Parts: sequence; structure tokens; C-alpha cells
Amino acid sequence: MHTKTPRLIAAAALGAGALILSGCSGPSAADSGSDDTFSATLVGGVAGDLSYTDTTLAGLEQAAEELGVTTKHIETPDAAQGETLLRSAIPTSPDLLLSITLPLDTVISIAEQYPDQLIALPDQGDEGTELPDNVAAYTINVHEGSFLAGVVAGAMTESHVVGAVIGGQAPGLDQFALAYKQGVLAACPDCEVKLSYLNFQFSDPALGKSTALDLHSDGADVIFQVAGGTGTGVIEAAEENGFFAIGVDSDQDSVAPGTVITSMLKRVDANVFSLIEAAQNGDFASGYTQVGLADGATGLSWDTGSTVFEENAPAEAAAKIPAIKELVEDYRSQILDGSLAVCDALNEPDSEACAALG
Amino acid sequence: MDAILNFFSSEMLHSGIRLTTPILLGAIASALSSRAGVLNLAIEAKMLVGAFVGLLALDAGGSTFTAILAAFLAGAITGGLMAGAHRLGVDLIVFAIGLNMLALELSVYLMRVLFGGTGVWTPEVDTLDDIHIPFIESIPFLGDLLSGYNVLVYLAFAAAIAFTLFFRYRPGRHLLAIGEAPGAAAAAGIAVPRYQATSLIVAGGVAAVGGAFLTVGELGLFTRGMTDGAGWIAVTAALLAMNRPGFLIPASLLFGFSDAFAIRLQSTTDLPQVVVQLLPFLATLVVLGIVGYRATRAAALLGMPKRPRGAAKRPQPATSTAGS
Repeated sequence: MHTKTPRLIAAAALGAGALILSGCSGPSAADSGSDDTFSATLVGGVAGDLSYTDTTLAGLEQAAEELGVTTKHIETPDAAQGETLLRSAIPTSPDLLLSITLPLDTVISIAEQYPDQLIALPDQGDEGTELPDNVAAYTINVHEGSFLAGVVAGAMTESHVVGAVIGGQAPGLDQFALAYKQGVLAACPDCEVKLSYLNFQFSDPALGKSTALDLHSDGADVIFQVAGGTGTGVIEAAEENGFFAIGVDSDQDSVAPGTVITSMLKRVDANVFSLIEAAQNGDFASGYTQVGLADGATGLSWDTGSTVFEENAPAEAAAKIPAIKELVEDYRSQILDGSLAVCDALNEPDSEACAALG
Repeated sequence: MDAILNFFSSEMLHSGIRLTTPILLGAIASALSSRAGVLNLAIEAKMLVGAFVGLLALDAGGSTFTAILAAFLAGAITGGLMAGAHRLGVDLIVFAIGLNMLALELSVYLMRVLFGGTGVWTPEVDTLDDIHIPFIESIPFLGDLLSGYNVLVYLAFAAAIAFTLFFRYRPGRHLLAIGEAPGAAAAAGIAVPRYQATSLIVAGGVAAVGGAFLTVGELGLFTRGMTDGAGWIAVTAALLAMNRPGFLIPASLLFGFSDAFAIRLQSTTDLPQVVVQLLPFLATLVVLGIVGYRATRAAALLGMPKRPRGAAKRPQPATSTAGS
């Protein structure tokens, strides 16, 4: 009898363990399937880039707080794993699957394979590809916001030379760069705009710093960075050498207070939120939706009330800000009422506004 | 002439030397390992380890010197792991790939656990000071080229020169022998495993200092995968230099300056962007071509000493027809 007790205990422990285990996996599996709480899973990006992914995550967090949605983020540090990770998310059957940074045709092929899975792309350029009925995509046109960033740079510069560090030369990135140039020239017609393109290196801060210092040595005193992680080096260079930078994608004003004048926002977070909200209310609309300055999808960090620069910058630089803000509002209303056409290098590269920029 | 001077601006020279430094240190590490008969593909991992540990030590209140020392030790330990694996007969190429992946993800994991959920870590630290060499600084072109860098830049170039001199001494000769023919070296009584282990450990430390140059020396911040392939470029640079110490500096300069050239060409010329980004690769291709040509020539001589000029023409019709 004595020998049997430990075995019984072991069996009981095993049984309890199995119960605990099933208890762990059971509800969560049921959770995402049931209609009680709406669940959204985001696949793509790497958290903590202070830029693109963080903006997207902010939208996810907002949805979790305000809409009571269960959210999950699956990171894809290696783009090659993206497809596998997206597929692996489908068996957990979230009510809405969000995808960033993955190639569109990959997403479409997965969507066609699982026609019941709703998939949303909060930031996807419209390449003219037809989308299946279970895919919704938002296209953010950043040119108008970038124009305003250019106005800020043009009004701020003392040397009348401004620069930009761009991650690579592609229509999507030129949508930032050319509109920025146009904005600078609008605010400061005799300014020189130096655009420095990299070779699609988005995680090399040392290169970003070198590029920014090179532009600075040619006189640039305001530099706009459109280069993801490489851009942190641009901001670092500006902070160290006492010139100014403009952030991109998310609000980077606090990365170097008093150095980053403002940030050109790409509000992927707003798209994430509205996509989740729509899907939760059963209003999931497939196809493309174009959003821009008028929808608040792009703009400056000042629009969301950031005053980090004014509070931390040297007095003479901070003193310029109120006048620049007025100028920005002036241009904003001109863009919104259609009297000012901003170059859109992604969708209309042959337009008059772009041709004028060379 | 003005255009040329404008192109070779002091900032261009500085950028080039700064971008060269981590590559040079990595290339020394790679060449040292290769000379010991081990293909070391974990340079990238060691640089990341050095970058992370260096900044960690600096943030923990250490001086820049202790930070660099800590980076060196951490890299040496990583090198030691490799040496241990080599001793056990593990395939070092597979092991190196594993190390590279581990270092990338572990650094991100530790950064998040220790410093909150971010992908960029910017502690309040002072990076290394630039050293301005009196007198030399005021020479126009040379001053820009030679003065105004932090101590690690000078250390990197000094290390490359020391590496060259190393082969003139007994341990260096032994190392050469091991790399060429480990069996023969062992038969001659050289402690092959010990030399290989020491080389891997020192190589790890040197590569890690290359990583620390980025964080402790330059940026004062750490981001995910911030070496961005510099370790791989270092391996390539060492291969381009055919692991000859004397060629390490020019090979590293080629890669370091290619980025600086690309940056500068955009500011000074109207060349299309794609062409500008293509030039560094084109330069590499040309150099590789020259290296390859020289290698075939060397092979044609079959290790025989070169014949004096003029004497080559007379006999041996076979080689001269093959040449033309």
C-alpha cells in the first residue's frame, strides 16, 4: 500500500497539471473565437523603433483601451519570416488580422486561401492591384504633411541651406522628400535643399550620423530624416553639433528635446484604430481608402499639441516658433481648400507640382 | 581643382575614416582567425556584443576606458566560446551563424528587459572625446585626414600595423605555419590548438572593440542590429586583403570610404542616384578582378621565385603563349 501512495500523488499531480495546462490554453483559444471580446492581431514590424511600428502599436493600444479589444502583436524582425508568421496567426482566428511591412502579393495570396479571415492593411500604397473581399487597405499620402515639414525647415534655417536624409530612392520615399523640398522653397525661395539618399539602409545609425554631418558641413542647419533607425543617428548628430532635425512617422520631438523641431507624422495609429472600430461594428469595407492631410492621417507633431521644442530649445530658436506655426496654418488652409497643389511623387509623379522640382 | 577640393571636404575624410574604423577592427579579427586556420563568420555577433556591453558598462558608471575594456572582455569570452566549440569539433560555420542570431536577439531582449520596452536605448553618457593633434592639425589636407578622431580610431590603425609586425616574430611565424598546414605545424612541435584558441579569443576582443567604437566612441546609443552588416563587410574586407596584414588597411578603407563617397557624390554632382550607389560596388568588383588576376598569375608561377625581367622571354615557349 505504501508504495502506491507516491504513484497516486504523481498521477494526481499529472492530472492537475494537465488541467492547468488545458485551463491555460482553453479559454484563450475560445476567447479569440467567441464574439464576446473582439480580437485583433497585428503582424509585422519591430517594437521600439521610435518610428513606424511604434505608431502602429499606439493605435493598437488605443483600440484595446477605448474599444475593449483583445490585441496581440507578432513581430517580424526578419522580413523573410513575415509570411510564416502571418500564416501562423490565422489558426488563432482573430476577428481582425492587421498586417504591416509585408509585401502586398503575399497578403493577397494568404487572404485568398482563407476567405473568412478579415485582413486589414493600415498602411499600404495603392499599386492598382485588385484586393479580395476580405482585405481592406488604407493608403496614407504623406506629401502634404511633408510639405508642412518643409515649410518649418525653410522658415527655421539661418544658413538658407536645409537637408534631408532619405533611406533610399523609391517613389514612396520621394513622396516625403520632394514635397518637403517644395515646402522649403515655398517658405524660403532662395534656400538650397540638399537631399541625401542612402542605399535602403534603415538600421545603421552610424551611417545616418555621417550623412547628417556631411550635409551640415555643407551648411545645412535643419535636416529632415526619413530613414527609420538610421535616422536616430541624424538626430544624434544634430544634438551633438547644435543644429536642428525634423522627425518622421511618429512623434520624435522627445528623442532629443530642443533639437527636433517637429515631427512629420504618418498616422498609421489612426488607421489601425478606425479599421478595428469599423470591423468591430461590422462595417468592414474591403478595398482601398485614401487618407491624407484632410483626414488627419498626416501632419506635424504640433497638431497633436507637442510643445517639447519650444520648452527646450535655445531662446532665439524658440522665439521663431509662433510665427512659423502661423505660416504652417496658412499653408495648411491653402492645401485643404485646393488652391495649393503639393507634389505627390508616389501617385502623380508627372504632375506640374513635381515637374517644377526637377 | 576646386571641385576636387570641394569633394574631398574635411567632413568627407572624417566620415570615411570613422566608417572605416569598425570595419578595420573586424577585418583584423577575421584575418587573425583565418591565419589560425579558422573561418570566423561570427564577427558580426562579436561586434554587437561589444557595442552592447560597452554601452552597458559606460552607463553603469564606468569610464570610457573600462567600457572599452569590458567590451573587449565580452568579445573575448564570445571568442572563447568559439574556441571551445572548435575544440569539441563543432562545425564553426554553423556555430557562427547561431552566434550571430543569438547576439542580435539577445541584445534586443536584454535591452527590453533591462531598460523598458524600447528598440532604441539612449542612456545619458558621454562618448569618447576627439583628439586634436597639435601642429599636424593645421596642415591643410593631412590635418583633416589625421587629426580629430577619438582614441579608438588611432587604436584601430595602430592594431593593423602591429598585426603586420607580428608576423615578423616567432609567434606570428608559428601562426602562419598553422594556417598554411596545421598538420606540418603540429609535427614541428607547435601547439596548434593553443594558438588557435588564443587567436579566436583575441579576435573576439578586437571585433568587440569595433562594436564598442559605434556605441562608446560615436553614438552613445544602441539600436537593434546597429552594426548593420559591418561584421560581414569586415569578413569581406579581410578576404579582399587575402588575409595579408599589410592589405587590411586599404581594403577596409575601400569599404569605409565607399559610403562616404556615395554621400559626398550626391552633394557635389548631379549624377543619378542609382549610379552613385553603384560606384562603391563597381570599385569592389574592379579590385576583386585585380586580386583575382594577380592570384592566377601567382598560381601560374607555382610558387617558383620570379624570374628576372628579360630572362623570362628566352626559354619556355609554353608559358609565353599562354600569357598572350
